[in-house]
Amino acid sequence: MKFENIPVEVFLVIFEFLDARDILRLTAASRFLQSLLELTSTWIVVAGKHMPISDPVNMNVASLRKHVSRCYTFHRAWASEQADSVPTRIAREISIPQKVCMIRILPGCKYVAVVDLHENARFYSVETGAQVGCKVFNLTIDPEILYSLDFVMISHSTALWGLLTADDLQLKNDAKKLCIRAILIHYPKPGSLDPSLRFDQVFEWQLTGSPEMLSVSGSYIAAYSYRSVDDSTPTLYVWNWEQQALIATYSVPWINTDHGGGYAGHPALHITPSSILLIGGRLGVHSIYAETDSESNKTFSRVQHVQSSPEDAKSLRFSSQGRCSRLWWGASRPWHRLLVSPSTWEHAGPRPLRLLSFEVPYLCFYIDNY
Amino acid sequence: MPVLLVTSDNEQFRVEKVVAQRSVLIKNMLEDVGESDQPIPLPNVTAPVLKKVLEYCDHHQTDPLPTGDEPSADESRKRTTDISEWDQKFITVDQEMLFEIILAANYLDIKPLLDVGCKTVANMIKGKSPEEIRKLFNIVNDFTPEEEAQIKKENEWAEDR
Repeated sequence: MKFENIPVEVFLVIFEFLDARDILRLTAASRFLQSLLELTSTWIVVAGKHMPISDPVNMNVASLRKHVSRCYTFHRAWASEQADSVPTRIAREISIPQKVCMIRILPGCKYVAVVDLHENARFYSVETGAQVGCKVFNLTIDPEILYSLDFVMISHSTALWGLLTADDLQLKNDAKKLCIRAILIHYPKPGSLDPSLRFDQVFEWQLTGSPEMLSVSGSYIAAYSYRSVDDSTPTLYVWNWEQQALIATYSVPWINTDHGGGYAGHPALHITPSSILLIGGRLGVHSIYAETDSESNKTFSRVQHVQSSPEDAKSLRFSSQGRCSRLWWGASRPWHRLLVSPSTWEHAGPRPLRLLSFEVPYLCFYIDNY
Repeated sequence: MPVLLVTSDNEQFRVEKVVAQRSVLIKNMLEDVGESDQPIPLPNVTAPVLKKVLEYCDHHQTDPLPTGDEPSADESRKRTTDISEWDQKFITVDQEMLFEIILAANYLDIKPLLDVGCKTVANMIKGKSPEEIRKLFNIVNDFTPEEEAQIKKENEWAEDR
């Protein structure tokens, strides 16, 4: 009997006893074995009590070994709504200041970025908790406020950092001056004694509008913004960051009031290798834009508009505080995760964080509290 | 009361019910048919493999039956690839038989035996390069050089420790 004739379900059991590196080595042996990776939605987001540790496919293996559990357990636990049974591990708790703007786990999961509202970003090592870098924003509009940022892994040693900032001193009815930036973060080389991160600005685009969200992928940067404060329909902009060019703009209606007339929350924008997602708003309206490839030019077309349950919508009203798109798996992986926390939090103590996972195009939401 | 099992090669095995019931498949069949002398056909298992499987079931007949869905049991199961001394000796067979035992354990739904087999395979894989794994299991490398290079590049992060 050939090894590759072992039933798939048995392979998945074998995977249970292997760490990530060995799974990757095994699945690199043949096409059939490689295809098993597509079946192993077996990785779970690892989250600490106060600090999420992101998507383990982007974690280093040492952390993987200690902290990864398999997703079927994860799914089952979440589906049963027994939050206590979610097999989470605390890798390291990092004290997060209360007055932070955003927290991001950098791809590769060795670093956590804690970003102030105006000032700068501090990067901490997940392994040691020590600060390993500090990036002061290279302000071009003064004074400038960071509205949105996103990280994505470009290679095993670099990540792309997208920032959406805006001049906040314009008159109320004026459009703000917006600036979209992409900064490459270089990780220290393996074995390097210097753990510092290095930064290179690689993209900058200025426009006017009223900013909402920004998201980056390895190829694109997308921003969702009103052209002016009076504008009822925001615009979705898509840039190809390597060519430094704006390749598409779309008007995407957004309902930002709830049924009582109150504000329904910011949309969360997430660009993945296969789609652009807008999530949130009234009753969690999701707009999905799928990528279609026409020869050399990639375009995005709207393909789905889904309304989530009111229960999900409550969570979706929180502003997004993180994203774990699974670039590592390639474009075919439909699994994405967001880390969300309340956009306002006045109580003392750590912010409550929520981990939200969803699948495209099914938009199955799994929500848990940490 | 003994149970009569019939393999794919028409060999009959008369075993104690307590031993046969280590298999969830057989246990369910027995519950479905009730008290009966009818032989139980096992069309996916040959006699040499069933003999090995029954050896395992006989040795473990007094072990508590796994409850299946308990998260704690599930957790501890995946934490270790340790195999008890007896099991290790039992599973020291050639590769062909090892795979057959795993298949039979999967078919007969004997989770502890499936785990022993899968742990053994996992232990064989651990620390080996893709090329060594191919050699070990006689796997044909059907990637193009470009595909192989791409996969190697994608997997670099895991090697970077």
